[in-house]
Amino acid sequence: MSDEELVRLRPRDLAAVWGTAFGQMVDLWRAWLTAMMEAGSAEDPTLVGDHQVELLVPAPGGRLPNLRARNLVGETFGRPLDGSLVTFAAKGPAGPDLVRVVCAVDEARGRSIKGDLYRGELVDERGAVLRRIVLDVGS
Amino acid sequence: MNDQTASWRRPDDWDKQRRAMERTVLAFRALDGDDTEVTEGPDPVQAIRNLADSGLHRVIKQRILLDGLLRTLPDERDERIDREVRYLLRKTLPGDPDASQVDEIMDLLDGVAGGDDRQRLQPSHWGVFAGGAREAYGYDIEELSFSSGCNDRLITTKMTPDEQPRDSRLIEAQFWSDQPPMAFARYVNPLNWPRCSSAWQDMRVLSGEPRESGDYNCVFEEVVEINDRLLRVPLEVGYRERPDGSRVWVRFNIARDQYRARREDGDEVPVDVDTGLVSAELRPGGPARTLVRATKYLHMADDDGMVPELACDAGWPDLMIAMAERCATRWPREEPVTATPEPSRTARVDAAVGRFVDEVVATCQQGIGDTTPHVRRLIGRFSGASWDPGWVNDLLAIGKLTAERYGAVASSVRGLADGLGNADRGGRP
Repeated sequence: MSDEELVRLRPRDLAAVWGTAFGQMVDLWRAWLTAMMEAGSAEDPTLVGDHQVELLVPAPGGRLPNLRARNLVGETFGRPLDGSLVTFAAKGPAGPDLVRVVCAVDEARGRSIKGDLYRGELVDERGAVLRRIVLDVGS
Repeated sequence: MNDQTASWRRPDDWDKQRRAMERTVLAFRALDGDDTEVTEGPDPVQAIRNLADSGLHRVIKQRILLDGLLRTLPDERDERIDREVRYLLRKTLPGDPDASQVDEIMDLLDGVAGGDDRQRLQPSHWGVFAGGAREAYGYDIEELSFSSGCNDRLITTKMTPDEQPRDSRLIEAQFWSDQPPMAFARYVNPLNWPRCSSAWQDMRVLSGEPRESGDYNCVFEEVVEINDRLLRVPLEVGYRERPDGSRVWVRFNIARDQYRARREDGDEVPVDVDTGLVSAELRPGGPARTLVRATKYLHMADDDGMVPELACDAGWPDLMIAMAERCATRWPREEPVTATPEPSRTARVDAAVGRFVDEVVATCQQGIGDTTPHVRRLIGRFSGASWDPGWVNDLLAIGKLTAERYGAVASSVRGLADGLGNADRGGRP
């Protein structure tokens, strides 16, 4: 970028860019931390697959992120499951910046869900993968 | 009876074994003054004696006894019951135990179950008893880690084939083993359940072709007898084995078409929720290498609460403990089932690597797709009249997607390591 082009930049443009960048760097740091934790996810007891799963979810400042499940697919019959059927109930704080959440599926809202272990991802409102989940759903 | 079971005959004493379990459970329920479902039951003295004399596994006998004693208060037991309890403990002790050994185990049992409140058998109760009696009985890891959940609280809503919600009983049982998962494949396969447990009468094939090994889908008519009720349930089954031998499982659900057809014929299926899973899986971090687990959600169409209770206290744990000993005392030696083909180490490694490659390629493809809009925007920042400083944000967004992709790849690497480790250890028995 030439000196002439730099002079044309308005301070408020730069402030917007670097203000956003600061938040992004925090996200990037969290993504790397999550990536490192993923390496040990095979030992996660929640991956056994019950009809409901209790999870510890990062909650910066005590605020629980808007959670959703995605890419849920039955391990036996290969059917997809609508992630919006997954419900999350906060069960209170579980440490600094951590909240205990119970995750289950509202089977009455789904139609003819084929019984299976559904494996997928738990993501926050920005789509960042928080962890993998496994739920026993259907009948 | 289908082709797979035609050559096999149920041992004559299996009905006696099943009744011995159920009668003892019912006898203790009747002693329990708070239990309103069972007000009259079999004579507890005779029930415990029959349980002790049956050919059932010692863990089944001891767990039923422990559960019964936990449910009753000390003043609801008399000397005759205590004498039969001692008889059962002595019968299950190895060798020729003397009175002091039996006294020692009796004290332990009273310590776990002799409180002044009514309880339900929890994993912690069995843990304390089995831990204390470990030396006397010489329990192995399967027996020590055996756990099943029958505490009346495990109820969850499941949908019937007609989409009606029902509060269904969750029945769980599990144990850990040092054997590889494929050592349990023969017993995970529902084709062989009637050979393992006294509650199963038959698994008749209604459609599909079940196999002794390898994946298959099939509809069975499961025939089980619980509390002298013969239940015939059409079950849709999916049996699966991972090529690297790290997991074998079966999923079963009520077969909806057969369920509706039976109703139209006036032959109602007695259960309206019957779904679950039996699996054996490598689980790093546990007390042994493999977790063998069975879950079942059950609801009777006529709301008969005793069937799920007895399935939970007797039938399901009996099947699981039979698996734990790999049906050693029950599998007829003269009629061995065709051995599961042994894959070579190369095949197991190939399967683990193949799964890893598939996962990583899928992750990368998804990553490329997610990154494309950011890259396009990034290039656009430099092609205008002047550079747009927003390229910083695009670069950071791409970095975050990359980090997430590495996370997924790291998880796959862990799976690969487990798969290769399993191949090195043999994968199959």
